Amino acid sequence: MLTDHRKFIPPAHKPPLLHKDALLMSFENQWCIRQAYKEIIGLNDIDHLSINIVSPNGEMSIISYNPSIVYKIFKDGTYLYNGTISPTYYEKLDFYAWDQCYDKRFFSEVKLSLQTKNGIDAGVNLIHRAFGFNILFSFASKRKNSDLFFNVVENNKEFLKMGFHCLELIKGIYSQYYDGNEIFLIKPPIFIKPVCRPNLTLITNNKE
Amino acid sequence: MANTDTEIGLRLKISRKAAGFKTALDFANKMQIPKSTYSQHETGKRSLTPEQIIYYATKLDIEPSWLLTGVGHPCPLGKNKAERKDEIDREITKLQELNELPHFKNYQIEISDNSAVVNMELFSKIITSAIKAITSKNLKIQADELVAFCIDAYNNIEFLVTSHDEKNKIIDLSINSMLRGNHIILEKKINL
Repeated sequence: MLTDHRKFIPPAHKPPLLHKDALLMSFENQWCIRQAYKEIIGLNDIDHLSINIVSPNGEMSIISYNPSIVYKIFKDGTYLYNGTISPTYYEKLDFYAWDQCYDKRFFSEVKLSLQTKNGIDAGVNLIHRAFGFNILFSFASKRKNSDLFFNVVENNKEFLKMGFHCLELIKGIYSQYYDGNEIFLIKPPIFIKPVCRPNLTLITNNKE
Repeated sequence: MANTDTEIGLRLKISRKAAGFKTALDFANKMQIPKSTYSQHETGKRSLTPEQIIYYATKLDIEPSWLLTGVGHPCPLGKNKAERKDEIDREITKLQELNELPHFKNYQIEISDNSAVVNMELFSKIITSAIKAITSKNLKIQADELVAFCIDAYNNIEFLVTSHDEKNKIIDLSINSMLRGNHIILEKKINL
């Protein structure tokens, strides 16, 4: 699909290094993940949450509310080009919208696989780094013209709180796939930096 | 992107081929419809009336709502129909890649739906496996929670483009997650 049928086209950004069980770990723990994430699903336009944990050795584990999304993007290869789980973005940015990171050459294919087919209108990632881990909180909304992006910009503190609440509940799941207990040391930060606000210009009525 | 009549015509053509009629003429002869009328329906040059949509859907054993809108399942699901559905799906994917048919989100069922087209073979497999697992381990799970979980599992498995064997293994993984989540230690881990 993302090749010209003769050769592999390298992605524009660094591909993620996946944990060997990343494809199926969300199916293996679907019940517990559902129980944990359903506490925030429905709030603030959130219809999907995936917590992707990158261990200090760079391996990414994906713990998703919709395991089929993970399965599909890995099987069709679009995860290489969608950028949302690429170190190029999560190592440098604290917040980004999914469609900012799509490989422009395959924008429509990637959007189709990750968003259109799953009915997702908008998705954003919030990143937290601690003890050598990168934690990606991936929120998405299925509502048309969702305000998710601006909600996160305005209330990133609340979204991170929700993310950490769910992280607390799934640490046990993650520990089955990672030899080490450092994940249990990760706590929500006391101070959360606000996301850069868009540069708004005040429009005044020049007749007055 | 094609207009609505052309899109309906394309779906009609796909369904006609999947039903085993190689040419438009074969189907028109069989149904005793003037060949030119039927050809114009397939090419979208002539609009279909609601009666004609229902007529074609009945003759080709497809869902009239799908023929009209392209949303949902193309044909009633059931045994011996998987091949035909797969053939229709393959053709649709081809046309979608050529941008001749629009993409729709995967049709998911929800507990709040008044009605829905459900792949009963898959859904009953999930429900049966879940009930078997619960009874064998003497688990106590709220009925509404179980139904909601089964619907979620169904939505997650139905649209995976993979073999039936792998789908069955994924059903096992999902059901076993329920046991693991209720602290039942499984005898062995399933490897795919």
